[in-house]
Amino acid sequence: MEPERLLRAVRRRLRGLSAIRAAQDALVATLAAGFLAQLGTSVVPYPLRLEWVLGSAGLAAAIAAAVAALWRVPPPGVAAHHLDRACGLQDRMSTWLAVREGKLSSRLLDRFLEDASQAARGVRVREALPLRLDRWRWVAALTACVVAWDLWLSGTTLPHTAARRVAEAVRREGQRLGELGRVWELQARARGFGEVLKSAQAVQRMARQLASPRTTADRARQELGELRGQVRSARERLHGQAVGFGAPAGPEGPELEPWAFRALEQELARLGRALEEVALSPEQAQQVRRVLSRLQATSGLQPGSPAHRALQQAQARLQAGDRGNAREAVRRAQEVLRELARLLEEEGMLAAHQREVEASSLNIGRALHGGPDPEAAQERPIAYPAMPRNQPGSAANPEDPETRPWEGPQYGLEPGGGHVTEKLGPATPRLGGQRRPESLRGEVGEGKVYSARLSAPASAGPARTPLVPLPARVVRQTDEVLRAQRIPGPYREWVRRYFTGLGQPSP
Amino acid sequence: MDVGEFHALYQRIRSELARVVVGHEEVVEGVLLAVLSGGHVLLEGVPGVGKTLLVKTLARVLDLKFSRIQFTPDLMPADVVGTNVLVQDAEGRRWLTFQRGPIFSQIVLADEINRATPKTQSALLEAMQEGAVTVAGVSYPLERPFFVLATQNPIEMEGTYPLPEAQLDRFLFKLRVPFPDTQAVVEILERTTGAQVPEVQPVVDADTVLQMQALVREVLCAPHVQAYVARLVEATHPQGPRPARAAKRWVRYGASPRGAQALLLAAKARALMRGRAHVSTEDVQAAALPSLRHRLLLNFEAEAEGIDPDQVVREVVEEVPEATPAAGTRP
Repeated sequence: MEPERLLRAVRRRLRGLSAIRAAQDALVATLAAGFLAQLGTSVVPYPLRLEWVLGSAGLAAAIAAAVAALWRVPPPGVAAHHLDRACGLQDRMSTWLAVREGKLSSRLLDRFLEDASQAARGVRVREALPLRLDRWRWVAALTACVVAWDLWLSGTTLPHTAARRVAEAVRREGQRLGELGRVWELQARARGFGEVLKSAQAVQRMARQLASPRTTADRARQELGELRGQVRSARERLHGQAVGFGAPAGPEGPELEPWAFRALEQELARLGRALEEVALSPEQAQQVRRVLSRLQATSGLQPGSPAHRALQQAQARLQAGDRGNAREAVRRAQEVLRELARLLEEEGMLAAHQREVEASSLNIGRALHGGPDPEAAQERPIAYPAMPRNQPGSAANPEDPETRPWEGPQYGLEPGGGHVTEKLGPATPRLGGQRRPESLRGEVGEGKVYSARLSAPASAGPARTPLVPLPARVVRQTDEVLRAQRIPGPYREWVRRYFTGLGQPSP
Repeated sequence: MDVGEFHALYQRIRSELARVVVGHEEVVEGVLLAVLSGGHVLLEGVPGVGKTLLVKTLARVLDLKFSRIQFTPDLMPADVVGTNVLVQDAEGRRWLTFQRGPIFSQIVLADEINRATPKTQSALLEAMQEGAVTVAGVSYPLERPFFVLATQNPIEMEGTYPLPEAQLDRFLFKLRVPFPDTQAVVEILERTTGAQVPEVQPVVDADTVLQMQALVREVLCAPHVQAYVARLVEATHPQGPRPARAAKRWVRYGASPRGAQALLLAAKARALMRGRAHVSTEDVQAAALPSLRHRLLLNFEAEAEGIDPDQVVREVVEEVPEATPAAGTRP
C-alpha cells in the first residue's frame, strides 16, 4: 500500500478507535457514577433503578461514540504519528508527510521516498491498529458492581441516616400489610369471596416483599402501584357485575352500601313470608303492593334491572290477585338482591384493600420525600360541633340532654325497625343499638386528632361486624387521641361500661 | 556517497575499532557520532579505562594525523598552538617563523584538560570553534577534518581547573567512560598481555570522513522532529515558557541553542549510522544525554543534593511529549 492510501486507511481506522475509546470512557464514567449513586442510596433515599444506570451508560456510550466518530476525525499528521508509533516506522510517515507538503528537500530525498514506500508496503493497518477494548476490564468490573449491588446489596442503609428511616418505614408498611392480609384472607375464606382471597394473598406476598431488607422504597412504591392496579381491576370487574344486577352506577362506584341491599332483601323476605303464610285481604294485598312500590322507589335499583323488573312483576301480580306468582317474583328479586349485596360487599372489601395499599404507598412516599409523619398527615381532623363545655368533674345526668351521651345509630329502612338475622362472623355484643347516633362532646385539646369511620350493624342485638385485629396504627392513633383529649367524666363512665360489656358473653 | 555506502563504512570502522577497543560500545558510538557530525568530544573517566587508546585507534582507523597534548598546570597556550620563533640563517639574517604547536593535527587528544589553567584551556577555543588558530595577528587554518577529544578525570579534583561553561559548550558530546565489566577486563588482558598486540588498519581517509560529514547534513529532518529538539532544549531552561519539572528544580541555566544544533546533528548522524535518510524522534532521544549533560548548569540545591545532570536530562526527555506533525504535541 502506498503511503497516501495507507494514511487514508489509518485515518479511518483511528476514527473507529476514537469512537470505541470514547464509548469506553463514557461507559466507565457513567457506570462509576451510577455505582457511586447506588452507594449514595445507603445514606440518602432517592429512587435509583438498575435499568436507569445501565440504560444511561449505554446511551452515553452510544452518544460519545457517535460524537467521536463524526467530529474527531484525526488530521493526517496525527494519523502518520500514530502509524509511526504503532508500527515502529521511526517517523517515516511523518517525514513522508512533510516531504509531500514540500517542506523538505535533500539529495537523499529519493532514497527516503523509496525507503518510506517500502516501509508502507509492509504495514497491515488492521494488525497495527487493532480495535481493542482496552478498558473492558473496567467496564466489566463496574457493571458487575452495579448489578451485584442491585441483586444483593440494594436496600442497604447506614444507621442514623435518612435512608435508614425510609427503609424502616418500608419495613413497617410491610408488617402492617402483612397483618391486614392475613385477616383479609381469613375473612375471604369464611365468606367465600374469591376475588378478595386472591387480593389478600397478593397483599401478603407484597408484605413479604416489603419486609425484605433488599426492597428499596422506590421499588416498593412501584410494586405497590402495580398491586393497586390489580385490585382496582378486580373492583371494576365486580362493579360491572353489580351494575348488571341493577346497582346504581356512580362515578366512584355503587352509591348504595351493600348493607342497604341486604336490608332490602330481608324486607322482601318478610313480605314473601307474609305472602306465603297469611291470607291477605284485598286491602292488605294493596298495602303489601304499596310497600313493594315504596321499596322499589327507595332501593335505587336501576330501571330494567332484574331486581327492578321482579319487583314490578310482583306488584302487577298482586294487583291482579295472583299471589302465587307475586310470591315467586318477590323470591326472584330477593335472590338478585342477595347476589347484588354479595358483590358489593366483596367490592367493598377490595376497596379497603386498595385504600390500604395506597396508604402504604403514600406513607413510603412521604417518608422518601422527608414529609411529616405520614400516618398523621393522611387523617383529617375531626370537625366537632360547637357544644357547651362540660364543667370539670360533672357527672352524666340522663335527664339533661346536654350531658346525656348521644345514643347509638339506628339502621334499617325504618328507624329502629331493622334487624340482622344473618351472622357473618363471630358475634360481638353491642350495647345501645337502638339509640340515636352517638358522639362525644367536649373540648378539643392539644395534639393530633384522628377520625375513623366505623360500620355497624343495622339494629340492636349481636353485631354482625366480625372481630378483627386492629392495625397497630389505629391502636396508636386511639391512644394518642385519648391522651390528648380531655374527656368528661360521664363519657369516661359510658366508654368504660361499653367496653366492659364487650367482654361479657353474647346474650 | 549515499546512505548505503555510509552505513557500510560505518560498520567497517566499528568492527576495526572493536579489534582493539574492548567494550565501551556506547562510548565508541558516541565518539564516532561526534566525529561524523564534525564535533568535539569530552571524555570523562578514571585513568586506565582506555580513553587514550580509543582516540589513538580512531586516528589510525580514520587515517588522520594524531597528536596528544598532556595538559598540566604549567602548560602555556603557546605550547598548544605554537609560537613565532627567531630563526637565524648562516649569513646571520634573522626572522620570525611560526613554529606550529601540537594543535596542528587532525585528531588532538587533550589529555586531562582540566589540569591546565583556564588561559591554556581557552587556547583551544578558537581552534575548536573556528578550525583555525591566530598567533601574532596571523590566522593559521587547521587541517580538516579537525577533532578535539579531551579527557578529564572526574575523581581527582585537587589542583584542577574545571572547564568554563563557554568551553564546555563547544564540545558536541560529553561521554562518560565507565569502568569495564569483568568480561571486558578479561578480554583486555587477553589482547594486551600476549605476544601479539592487535593492529588496526585504516578504513577511510580524511576526504572520506569529510564526505561522510557532508552526508550527515543532508539527512532529512521533519519539522515536528526539529520542533521536538527545540522543545527539549527549551524545557531545560527553568525560566523558559515551558520548563520541565526537573529543570525548574535543579537547573540554574539550561542548554544553549548550540546544544540544539549538536543534538540534531548527532541525531542525523545516528540515523545514517542505522541506514536511514531521515531523523526520527528516537535518534533525538538517544543523542540527548551526551549532547545536553554538559550544557546544564545546575543550581546550588542540585549540587547539595548530589543531583547528576544525567538524571535531569533523562527526566526532561521523559516529560517532554513527542511532537506530532499536526498538533505539535501528542494527542
